[in-house]
Amino acid sequence: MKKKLFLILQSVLCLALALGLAAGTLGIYREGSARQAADPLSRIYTPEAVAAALRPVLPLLLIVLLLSALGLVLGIRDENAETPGKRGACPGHPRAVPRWLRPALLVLALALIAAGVFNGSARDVFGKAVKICTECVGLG
Amino acid sequence: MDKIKTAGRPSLRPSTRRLIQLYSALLHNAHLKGFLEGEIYRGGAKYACVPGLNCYSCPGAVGACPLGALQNALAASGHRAGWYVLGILLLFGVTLGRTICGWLCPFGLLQELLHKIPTYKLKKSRVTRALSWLKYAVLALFVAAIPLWSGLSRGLPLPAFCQYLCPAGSFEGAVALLSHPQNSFLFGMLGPLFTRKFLILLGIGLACVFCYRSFCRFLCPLGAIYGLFNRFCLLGVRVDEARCSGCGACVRGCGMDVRQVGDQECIHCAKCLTLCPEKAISLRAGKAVLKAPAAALSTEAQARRRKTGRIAWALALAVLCFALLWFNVLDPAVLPAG
Repeated sequence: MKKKLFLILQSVLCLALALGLAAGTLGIYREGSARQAADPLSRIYTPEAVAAALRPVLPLLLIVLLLSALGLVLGIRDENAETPGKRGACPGHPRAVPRWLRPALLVLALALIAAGVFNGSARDVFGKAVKICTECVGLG
Repeated sequence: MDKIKTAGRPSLRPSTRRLIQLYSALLHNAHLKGFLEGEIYRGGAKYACVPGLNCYSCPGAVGACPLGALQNALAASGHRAGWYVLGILLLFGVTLGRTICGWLCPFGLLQELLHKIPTYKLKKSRVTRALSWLKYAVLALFVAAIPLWSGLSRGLPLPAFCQYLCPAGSFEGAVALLSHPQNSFLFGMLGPLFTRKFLILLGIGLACVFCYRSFCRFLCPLGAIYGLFNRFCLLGVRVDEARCSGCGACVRGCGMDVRQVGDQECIHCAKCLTLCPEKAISLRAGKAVLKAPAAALSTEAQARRRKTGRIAWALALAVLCFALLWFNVLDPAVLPAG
């Protein structure tokens, strides 16, 4: 019973943590957008606003981490999830693939890489990888 | 019946697979100096794509993300065919398949660590099996169609998966960069895009706590690509059909939505090796057996394997030490200017 309560507590805490972070993020965005509507030069997100949003959530995060460590050391886990299901007999084995397929694809892969080096697409990969793509990581 | 287990605690000692995952995550992000300085690595190693999902805007990343590179190549296909990244993906697929997901991908490791948090867990079902097809839709739409359309019709690169979905970019890129005081100017750029992506990151993180490898199973387009090669990749779990009794214990005990061991959902984690009552499953590289149930190998073979394992670990550690030294000290690209 105690272990069941532990799992329920951890589940609720994880949900609460995620909701807390989400609410904090939306709160910063809402206030920041309102501020920016009044003053176009102001920022939506500031380090101070992020710190203020994180402050109430950090104790929750610490509790989740501590309880997780305790649960791992004590071996508390949801065994029901680890018990294999009843359904699912093996539906047979896949047809063997032709023996020439793998070496042929390997040769093709190496040929494509070589072609890419010569046609400059390798350089394109490098060119993108050494720049911070702010849109790609969601910075804007 | 209370199925909450406390007796028979699992060992806290990390498994070989966990150690390899940690090793790989460190190798993917060997530019540790980047975390201290808040800067990304700009050296020649970024010509190469890493096999796992690892954002190239992560301060530690030493290689290019294959998915980001693929989207940019497709977006630029009006000017130049992206043979290079297609060749790299084909090479990874044919040699390793989804073994990359199970053993090498840093984001796969992160998902498994989140799943370790002791909470109630969602079991796989017909719903999760159906959801596992979603990643092919993500691949077709966000990785292929949108970048192609944007590149060919507008002449603008639009890596749609990176921009709208990728949690690795949000976590390893955005959060890692913003955490450094030197990058406080980046706060000025944050707006609705960051809000959306951060909420997606939170949702995926939460899902991973309750549902094993949620991103890997339902959304990851890189797993979708590698899964296409799973049946004939060089390295992976294989079933000895002569020994297999068709009991299905391997499928039932697997955390992924497999129908057969080694199908497109299998990440070759080799958990089924211990589940098979007939000892019919092994992890192979071609004909060489890398991992098999102990009972399936003779004492000499087990001793030989242990010796080979020690040599492999010694070599791997040497490679890691060299990588850490190179990407943080020796590489001209990381030396201070002037």
